[in-house]
Amino acid sequence: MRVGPGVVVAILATAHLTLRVGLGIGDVAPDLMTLAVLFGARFMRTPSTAALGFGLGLLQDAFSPLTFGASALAMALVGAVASRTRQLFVGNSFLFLASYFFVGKWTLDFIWWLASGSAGWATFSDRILVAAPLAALYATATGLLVHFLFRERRRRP
Amino acid sequence: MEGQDNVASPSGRFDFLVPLVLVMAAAVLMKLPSDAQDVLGQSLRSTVLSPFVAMNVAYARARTLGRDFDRVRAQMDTLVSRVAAQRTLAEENRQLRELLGMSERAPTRYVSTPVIRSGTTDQSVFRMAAGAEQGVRPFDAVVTEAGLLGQVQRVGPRTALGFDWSHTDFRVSAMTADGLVHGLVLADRGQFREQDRLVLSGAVYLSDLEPGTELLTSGRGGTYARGIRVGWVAGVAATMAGWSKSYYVEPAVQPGEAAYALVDLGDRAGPATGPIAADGGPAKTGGLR
Repeated sequence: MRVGPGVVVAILATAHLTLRVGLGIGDVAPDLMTLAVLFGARFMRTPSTAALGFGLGLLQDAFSPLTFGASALAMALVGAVASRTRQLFVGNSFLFLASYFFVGKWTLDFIWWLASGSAGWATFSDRILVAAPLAALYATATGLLVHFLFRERRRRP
Repeated sequence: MEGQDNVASPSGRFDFLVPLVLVMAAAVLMKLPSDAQDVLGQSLRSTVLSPFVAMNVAYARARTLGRDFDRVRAQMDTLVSRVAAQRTLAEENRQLRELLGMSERAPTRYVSTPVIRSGTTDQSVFRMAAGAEQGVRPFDAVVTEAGLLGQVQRVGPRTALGFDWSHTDFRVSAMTADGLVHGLVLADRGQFREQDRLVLSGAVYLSDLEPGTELLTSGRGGTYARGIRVGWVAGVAATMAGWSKSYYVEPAVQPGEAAYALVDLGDRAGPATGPIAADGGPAKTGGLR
């Protein structure tokens, strides 16, 4: 059975909510919601990706009442920019995809940090210089795995 | 992945317009009044996200029943022994109040609730499976058997959202158990979450609190009831010559450990459909004594 990118996006978003909200394991699980947006951006048009990011971000914001809207803004922005990379970068090399997932996730965390108003050097160094790169590495590894599985699935008749 | 899609879009303008509108919409959402944000968040949590929320509640309950059974048993044994040892206190207190002509103290009411961490962006925020229908209101204290965990922020019909003491907006008026030193306790974020701690600021300059001194809520401002344990003094943080001193405080409750908590409803009357604990004792000291 061939699996379309839309199915992968839906699976990633559902898995994210199941792991982080349903089972409450927090950062132990990779940020699959961001991966869903970044993955979808490789197939969808810019408006659709921005809408996907906005919608998924809003779902995250439902659990963050003190920073409501910050995830929707960050995900819509990153989704829109990520979908434009298709016209800037050719190919799906390992290096490109690794950079794509890493920069996408780190940028999203940075925009969220700015939008949420968590000003101050302490939170900047903690969240953006330490936690965000680690989370981005985790997301990158997961994103590459998802990409590999998806590609293998598509190759099968 | 599919990658390049270089076909010029006939509606290229929308490629910029739609994201721009969505980003502006998100910015508007951020600036909405908190009540409107609540309505939107609550509607999402009660519809599309409700299966995940229900799963979280069920999982938290199952985990507590399984893993924490021995711990709960030990807590219950401790409570039973304390109640047995202090059985006469309530009667003595009643008699003393009669002698002094004081009216009877209204009992404090609690609603128990699982503490649900959504695992999303804001790590200081948690959800509770009790809301307005159970009598929960914004700014009610959230406590565990060890002490103060945090505060209720937003209340829905059956759920509420709160933040723990590690949130940057957290403040509580505190005092030493003897009531001699007062100050304001606030969060001091570390480089990592494990380094988060509290700081007692505004203590009088001549105070000399030893490490290990217990700090309780003072009840000033009326937000928190008097006598809930906040933590223990860990050392001097800073001094303002001749003016005031600050102390580092080891918190009584580690946020990550709290699987269940009680919302302190105070002595106000109200609907109570959830599990209620009542404390008619003379005063609350320690966690929930």
